[in-house]
Amino acid sequence: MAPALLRKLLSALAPAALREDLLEDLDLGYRERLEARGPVSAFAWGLRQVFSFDWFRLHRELREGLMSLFLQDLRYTFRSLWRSPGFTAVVVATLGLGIGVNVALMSVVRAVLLRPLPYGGEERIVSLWSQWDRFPKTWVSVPEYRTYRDTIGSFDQVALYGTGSGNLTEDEPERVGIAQVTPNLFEVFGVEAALGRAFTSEEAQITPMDSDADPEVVLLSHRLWQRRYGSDPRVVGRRIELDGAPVTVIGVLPEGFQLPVDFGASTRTDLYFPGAVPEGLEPIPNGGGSHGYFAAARLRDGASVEDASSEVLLFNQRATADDTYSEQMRFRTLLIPVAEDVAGDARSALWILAGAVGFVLLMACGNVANLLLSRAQERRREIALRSSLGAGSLRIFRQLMTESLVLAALGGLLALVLAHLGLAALKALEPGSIPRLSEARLDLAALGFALAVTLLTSILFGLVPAHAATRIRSALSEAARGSSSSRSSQRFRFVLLGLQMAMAVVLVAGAGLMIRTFANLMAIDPGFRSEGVLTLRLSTPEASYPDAGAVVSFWDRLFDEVNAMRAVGSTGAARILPLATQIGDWGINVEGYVPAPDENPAGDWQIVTPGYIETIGMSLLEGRSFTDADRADSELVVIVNEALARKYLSGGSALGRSVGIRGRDGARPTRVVGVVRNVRHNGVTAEVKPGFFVPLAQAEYAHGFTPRSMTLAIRTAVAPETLLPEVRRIVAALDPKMPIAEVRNLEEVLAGAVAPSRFTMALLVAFSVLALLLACVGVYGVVSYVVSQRRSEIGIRMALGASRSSVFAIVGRQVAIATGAGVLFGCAAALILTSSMRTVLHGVQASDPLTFASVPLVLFATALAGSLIPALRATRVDPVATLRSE
Amino acid sequence: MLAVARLGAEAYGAALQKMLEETAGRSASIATIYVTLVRLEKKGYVTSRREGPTPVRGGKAKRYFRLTPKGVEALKESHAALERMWRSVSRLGEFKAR
Repeated sequence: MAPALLRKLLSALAPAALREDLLEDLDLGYRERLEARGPVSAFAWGLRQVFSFDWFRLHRELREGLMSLFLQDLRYTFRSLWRSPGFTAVVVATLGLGIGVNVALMSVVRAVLLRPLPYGGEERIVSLWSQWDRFPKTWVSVPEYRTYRDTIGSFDQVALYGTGSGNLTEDEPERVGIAQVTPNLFEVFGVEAALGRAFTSEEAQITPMDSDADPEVVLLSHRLWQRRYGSDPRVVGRRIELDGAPVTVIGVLPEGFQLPVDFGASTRTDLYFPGAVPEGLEPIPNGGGSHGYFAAARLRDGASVEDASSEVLLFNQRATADDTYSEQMRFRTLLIPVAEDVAGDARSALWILAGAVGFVLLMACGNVANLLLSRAQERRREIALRSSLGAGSLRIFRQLMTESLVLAALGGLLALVLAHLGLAALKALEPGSIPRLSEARLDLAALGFALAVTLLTSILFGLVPAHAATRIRSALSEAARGSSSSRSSQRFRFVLLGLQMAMAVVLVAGAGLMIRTFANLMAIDPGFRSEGVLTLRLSTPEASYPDAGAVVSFWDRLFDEVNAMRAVGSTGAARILPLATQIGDWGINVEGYVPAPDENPAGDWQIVTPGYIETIGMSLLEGRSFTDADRADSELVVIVNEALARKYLSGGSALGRSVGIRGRDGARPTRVVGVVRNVRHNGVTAEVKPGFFVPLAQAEYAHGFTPRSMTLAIRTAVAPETLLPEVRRIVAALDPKMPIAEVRNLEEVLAGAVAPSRFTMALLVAFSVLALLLACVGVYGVVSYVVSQRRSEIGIRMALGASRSSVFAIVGRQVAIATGAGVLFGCAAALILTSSMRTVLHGVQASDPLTFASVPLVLFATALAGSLIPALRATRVDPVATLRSE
Repeated sequence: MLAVARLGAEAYGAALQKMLEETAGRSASIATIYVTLVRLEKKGYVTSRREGPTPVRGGKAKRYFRLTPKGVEALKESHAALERMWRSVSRLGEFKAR
């Protein structure tokens, strides 16, 4: 026989399947050489056999054999899972749901919050906004822009841009979003033209900001280039027609590029033209001037957002001290990193939801842990039997590992399907107010992470106790006796259950708060009636409608035609639609109102046609509405809202008083002819500010210009969409070059305004229902286990005369304690965690007593529901049978 | 495969190794030989079987390899192919021993 050292080395290296044969060959070969050439040569030969690189190849060749072993494990696993379908179904469903919702939501989080923006070096880009008492976040003025550009050292470049819309009138007319930008905008955003070139400062001089000059050169968005110009590279240099005037295309922007304000907006910018900022040394006018632009800055290398913010704050303080901005105005410049600015309100909601699904995953893990613990307990006997029959502990370990893997794989598969459906549902549920949601794709990294967490759980709670069973040979006898398991193991389960309950409390409390928030939002009266109103936007460019008279007569003719349609109740048009576009304010001088020294009376300015107030269902409190008699040459009139009447026209009726529109003072007096109820224009929860309405026909005299774009509203008794073809025909007949844009019914507009809250609420409710379901399954699992473990004890008690209710109490007490502790702990945690929801709540405190009082009820009901069936089973334990078996 | 064929009923690992060493002058480790054997077995050219101890003193159970009909067929085919190639080389008359 070969020396022991060689034999040992060889058996360590040889594959198990061939170990015996190889040892035999080693022995034979060694003996032959020993006889022929002596021990040294034989040993050298033996060493050569042992140290061969071909062991690896041999192992590889034999792997098929290992595979077949794995297949055998797999078959066994499927058989054993098939035999306990309840267990399998619950574990797979739990894993599938827990992982599925996580993957779906994390995919959204990734797309909306974590995916890079289409900018170069986005971490150095900040959006600039203004803030003062009446406006929490609003536009920037040209003088302010100049100050930021010239005095803030932390900024490398600052760009200014304004957005609007216009009609492409060559060939098929189309309405597109337009932006006027300073030529350095593309440098600020770190992008270059994909085709052609960007603007020069000479080109910008032709069309200064705040001027009506027609642009001569434009850049196209990649999207427009693809859609309208068929991705034709020869478009560069071509003359196209914007609002009837020719412009030259000088380039195409890179794919995906859009302005920060375009994310989540219904109309996105497709056409860019340059604008120069009027230079001059005059200081910022009092109040900052006309705020109407967006601004963005790129930070200088080495400067942080904090550096820039503190520099800007210094400017704010100086400008307030020297009375450029009044003390009362509390003017501040907001610097927001562009990624944060783009995500906007969706940011906090999504992180809240991400936290919620995290809890759902933990609860799912808790359930799986509990279920596997029970299963391991039940299988102690089987495992002990197998190990005593000679199954190696490695073999049993591998078998159990296979089972964990199979369960995780099945759960993962279900999760993949559910995540796919969930993501589609999320996209369908959300009407576009969450930017970049449409770009969300199933995130496989999230799937991998969630799978890893659950796999770890199942290994920890499935393998460890089962593996322990292979060591404890006494498990055989123990299991045979059916004695109750150790107290500590039971206690561990209840702790686990309590933790699950606590997590469910947090989720249910969050959902409760959102339900109350949404109910509050729905209870808010927007100030108009949204049902049965079709709205669409039309614009009357200067090329075809040279003056105010032409614009007004177009609308008059349009109303005549539309009103003649069947099923049309009334029509009207407004400069901007409430809850769709933000409204700004305009300075006013009110007769008889003496402003405080620092006060600038102002009102949200709206321009409407006769019939608009009736069409969207606003209510007139006093006086009259506009009529066709309010013409350019008649007395100038305004209608004011309640807020304006209360603030500036208190003491007697507002009717007949004069409201002067700043900048046009002294032209002709403007008299109040009506007072209307407040309309929630800038959001359903935004404070309604003083506002006034001017008739379109008089806008030229009241404001100094006539709006070129208006939204048409048509009230009808039939489904609003059915009117559209006829309206299109009428518009085309009046002006074949006029496109129709932003077609919506007013109900969609209203729904869109509460959509973010509805989205958050719907998801939190869904997650908390899921959490309750998981808690219910958790309770069921634990109680069934306890009942099965204490069957003999219960039987003996019943034999000794215990009533059914007292048996019920034995089981119920433990569940009640676990639930109670979970609820207490959960409420404490929820009080801390829900405070992070403050920004998404409305009309309800984060510590809302009603919510926090009802959550425990829901949880106890869940616990009762979960324990009912197994507890009833406990009361049906047959005392005679128990006694016989003892 | 030739070695398996030549050894006939006595084809097991150690014997194969010895024969290769003696006839081809090549020393291959047992592992190398088994790699080849396992591959041939997967392709279905040889089969293996553990057989009980031979009735001589000290004889133990061994794994014996045997050619399958498919293996025999493959061996014949490769022999024929070699022969054809050799013939074509002689016909060219350019073959010289190096």
